[in-house]
Amino acid sequence: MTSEQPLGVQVGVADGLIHVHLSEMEALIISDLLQQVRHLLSLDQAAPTVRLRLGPEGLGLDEATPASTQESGAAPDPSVEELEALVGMRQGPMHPPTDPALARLLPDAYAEDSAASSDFRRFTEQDLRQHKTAQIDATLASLAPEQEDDQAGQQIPPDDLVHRYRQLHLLPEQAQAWLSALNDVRLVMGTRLQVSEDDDLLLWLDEQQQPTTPTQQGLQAQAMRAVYDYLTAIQEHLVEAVCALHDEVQKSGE
Amino acid sequence: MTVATAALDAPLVEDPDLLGISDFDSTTDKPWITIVWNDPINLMSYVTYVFQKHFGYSADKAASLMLDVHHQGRAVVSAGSREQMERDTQAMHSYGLWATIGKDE
Repeated sequence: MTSEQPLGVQVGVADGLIHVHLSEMEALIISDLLQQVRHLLSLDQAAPTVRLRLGPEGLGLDEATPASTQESGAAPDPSVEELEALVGMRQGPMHPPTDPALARLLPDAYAEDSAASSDFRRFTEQDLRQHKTAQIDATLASLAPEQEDDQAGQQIPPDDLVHRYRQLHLLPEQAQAWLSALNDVRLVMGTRLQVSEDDDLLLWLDEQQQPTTPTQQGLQAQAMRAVYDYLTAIQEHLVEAVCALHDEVQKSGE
Repeated sequence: MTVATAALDAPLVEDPDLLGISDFDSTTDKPWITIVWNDPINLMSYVTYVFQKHFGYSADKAASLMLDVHHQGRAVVSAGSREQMERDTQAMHSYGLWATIGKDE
């Protein structure tokens, strides 16, 4: 596959920072995907959960299915929130999400012990979701245009999106957030696209193009695959940059 | 409870027998392990980076473990107490690697 536009993004290391040069179009696509995964991470509470509950019978464990209450818009019991804050612990679901992409972000911890996996998930899944969401938020924040361009982003004519560029200067910890967040986007897209170990883009496209007239669905999958490969390239560049920066810091410390 | 929460720096009760915790593993002294599994999405360079970053492994050791994951489908990346393996596994999941806890057998 060839593209009219060359890969715009450039990643470099200088002065203790990682510099990312990318077009407004690329920034738009990356932001949108990050926001979609952020939304995904807030979903699928449908699995039965156990929450601590204060009631007339005192402190007890109460089986509850918050999915129904959340979907109907009912506010969570404030006493539960307070108690969770007090003990510094929130109990989450016991079963993996039903959506395979979300399940890939939040995998089981015990391969052959479903009871232990449930237990582990109950105590850790909320933290993991929050951690991933925070990494996405940090990435979105560092991707935002500088103050003076604040309103410009909305007004760029679509044709100019690929010609106007944005320069980001990432601290090492910001670049690390990028690595985690981009990887989560790739995990979701790769799961949806059913990417396998040995396939390459050309082979994959061949399989997709079996029908002589590509379907709308086929075209969408092709576009998604192209973006997936694009994100893979950025991820590779960023890993190299983070490692190069790490080496640079170590050398200067010697 | 099988999970050490991040908020607790030290166990509240040093001797698990005091709590009568039935699943405390005293039948064997074989350590627990963290296993990272191969998957088609994570980049080899990223996996190597994560091993260096989280475990503090040298570039050589991290790359060698990554190749074990890649060629053998899985690799044991750390061993120790169940609580430590749960922390390591949670960290691997936060990086997006596919990891599980098991017994060294």
